[in-house]
Amino acid sequence: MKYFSLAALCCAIGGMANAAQAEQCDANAEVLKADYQQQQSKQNAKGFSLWRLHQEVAHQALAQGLVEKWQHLRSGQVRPVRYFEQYQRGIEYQPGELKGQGQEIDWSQKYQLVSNALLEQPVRTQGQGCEREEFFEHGNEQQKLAITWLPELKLVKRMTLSKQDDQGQWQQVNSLELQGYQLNQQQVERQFALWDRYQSTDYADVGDNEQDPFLAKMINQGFIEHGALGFYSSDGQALKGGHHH
Amino acid sequence: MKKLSFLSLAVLAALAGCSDDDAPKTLSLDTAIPVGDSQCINGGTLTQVGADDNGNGQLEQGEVDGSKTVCNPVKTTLDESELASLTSNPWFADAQQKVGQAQERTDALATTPAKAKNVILFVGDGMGVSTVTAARILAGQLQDKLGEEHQLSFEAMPYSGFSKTYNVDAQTPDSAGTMTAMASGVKTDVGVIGVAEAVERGNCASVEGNELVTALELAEIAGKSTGVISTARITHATPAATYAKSADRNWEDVSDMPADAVAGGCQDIAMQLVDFEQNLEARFDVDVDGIEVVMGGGRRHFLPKDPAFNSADAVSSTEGDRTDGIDLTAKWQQAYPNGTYVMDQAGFDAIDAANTERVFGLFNESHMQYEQDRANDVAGEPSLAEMTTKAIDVLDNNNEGFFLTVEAGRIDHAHHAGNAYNALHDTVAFADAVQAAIDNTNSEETLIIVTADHSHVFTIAGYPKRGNPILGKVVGVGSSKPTLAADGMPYTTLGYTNGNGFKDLGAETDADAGYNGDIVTGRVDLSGVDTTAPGFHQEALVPMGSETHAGEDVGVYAQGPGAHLVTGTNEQSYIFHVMNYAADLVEKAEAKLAK
Repeated sequence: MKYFSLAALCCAIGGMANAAQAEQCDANAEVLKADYQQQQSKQNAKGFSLWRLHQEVAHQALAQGLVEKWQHLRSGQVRPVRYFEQYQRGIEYQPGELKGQGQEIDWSQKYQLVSNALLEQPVRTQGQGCEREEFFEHGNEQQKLAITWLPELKLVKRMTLSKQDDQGQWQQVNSLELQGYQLNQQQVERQFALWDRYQSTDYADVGDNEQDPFLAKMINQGFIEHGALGFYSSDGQALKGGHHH
Repeated sequence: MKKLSFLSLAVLAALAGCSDDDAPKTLSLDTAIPVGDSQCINGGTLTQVGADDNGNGQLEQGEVDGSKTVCNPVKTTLDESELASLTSNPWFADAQQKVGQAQERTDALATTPAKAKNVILFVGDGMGVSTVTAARILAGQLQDKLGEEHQLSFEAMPYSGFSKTYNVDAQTPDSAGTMTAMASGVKTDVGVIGVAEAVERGNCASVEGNELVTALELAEIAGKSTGVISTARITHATPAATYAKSADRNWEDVSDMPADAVAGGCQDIAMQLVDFEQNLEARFDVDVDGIEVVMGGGRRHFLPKDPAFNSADAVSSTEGDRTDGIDLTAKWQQAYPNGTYVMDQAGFDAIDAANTERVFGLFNESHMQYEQDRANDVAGEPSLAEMTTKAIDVLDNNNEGFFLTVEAGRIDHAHHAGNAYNALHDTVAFADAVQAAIDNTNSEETLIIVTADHSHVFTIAGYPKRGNPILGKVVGVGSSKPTLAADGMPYTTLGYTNGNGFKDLGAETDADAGYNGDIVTGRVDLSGVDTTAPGFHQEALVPMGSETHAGEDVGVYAQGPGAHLVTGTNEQSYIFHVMNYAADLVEKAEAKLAK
């Protein structure tokens, strides 16, 4: 994977050179858009964007036109909403409806693509200001996870998951690479407002609306499969603390 | 009365007279005919006559010259000893007692109309007959009974019948069309609220001229207090059909409506609820005082799309959906300054019902919680039984009586999610609410009708033994191990014909969590699965994104004045007419309008 300077990214995309190069990072990491490239095994790389607006975060799968938005509530619960950009429609869930196998949603995993539980003890650090990087490594005899973390921006810069094959060779099975980020508040607010205007349906009401062509199509597409976005292991499990140490 | 006794198969023989000459003696032989004989159903006697040709003193078959059959007369009574095996049997005794009670009711039947001061219509959304049966068993088993013999509160009501649920344009109906039929006495199309079948779904302009009048509206005009309760959003199809007219059930707030419908002057359903009084007054040129009790979910349709209006237990960053900037809760409070708006358990508990004129309770942003998930609600929600009790306490402050509709809206949602656990527990909670109504009203002046709007493709199958856990796997009579199907795997008593199919979410009490994951229809090895757990979703045959309604009839149960009219199999619109007969709603409303 190509390695690049975060400062260059800021300059090229967001015009944030001063902020990035300063000893202190003044960037507001609560409102941003970050673009990623994900490569799973030998599949084609796919791009997606991470959007943040304070206590809301969205994962936008560009090719699929699918957006998963997560709202962090005062109660500590996380409420998901799914948007289908092609149809300008949304499905709203109640907190807990997408736990899946009884697991609670980990807000940090949604907010920054990696759980806080995996960011507790860096093996080393480098840089300063917004460019400061922390490196984390987790693993066992079967798999290894390496994370390059930008703590001031709460962004993953690079994350790779490798597994040992039958011949004892380590193979990279999943990687995530930050392509750039933007700190344009107006742009972010505009995008969240656009999704918010989509016609939405409460998930509990799907059963009463199957004659709705959109809902019928959505169901037939099997959109509810978990692991559609974000960073997951090759068996589809979200990477969380405790699973890979 | 004449008494008879049974005779055994004993053969009685008698010799006829004798003489000293050599002529064969004439003999006769009487044989008892047993009870149940094809010729003599009550038994009798066969008398055979003939000469004793061989002189052995016995009348043998070859010596019979003639016979005569005398049947016992028809048996009209049995003595106590003959009946003991029946009368000492509890099934017999209980049923005999029920017949006696039914006869007494018939003798005492008040057939005159207008005897009901109050009317309560309970609707279990999606509570088909199989749901009632399974919930009855679950409720019994929760009380450590075997289960099957248990009765839900409304099953003890003296009168019952069936409703045909189809919509005018649909063999299998939805809640909008079915509740419109029950509330207005007119069957209509699927998906429309309070309007007749000439309406075109989604066409605002087609509403005008097709508006129906509901029992709640008639009661309001007649001067009764009125109320609507639901565990679903209060703008959802079933509660909405009592107070709103809409070309689409989904027009719950202005943001759900197409621009041309808004421009065409159609009001969203939430707005119609808050404007109910002024709309009814404008329509009939009459002075009414509005709905006294409204309780349910659906706060989002009453609040502006602005986080500044969020409630304490909002589950969205912006709770309200309204794009017209109107806070309908504030509008309601302004219209009814003596009314009480509540949004949580504490507010609900603080209501002094005896001295409260009016209540507007919106306890959830969307639907209220499943009964088994209610403890997880952030701000707390009352149960359906608590809401029913509170509503009656407020409504019965009016000497003219009241009309109340109570819906258990989430039975339907749990079934759609393929989760029998929550569907049945919500049905049990619904039965508790009915019991609360029975306990808090006078049956001589209150008609209570309990029914469903439609059923679901929910089955009770296999040959489980008596008392087998209703949510469990089938264990056959005389066995302690699960019965295996032809594929060698165990199966559950409860199942669905279609839907998302199998899910094992363990202790998850939110049925809708089952939507997360692939559709898994067909057979799954359940050997290691606890199928009685809250998060178990039953197997299904036909893969669908959501389990569907079903088209068979639903039960109707009733007690109180006019309840005797609930009998036989009728169109669903019949229910309105029973309520009207019992409470004379049309006559009383017309009398008020004539003043």
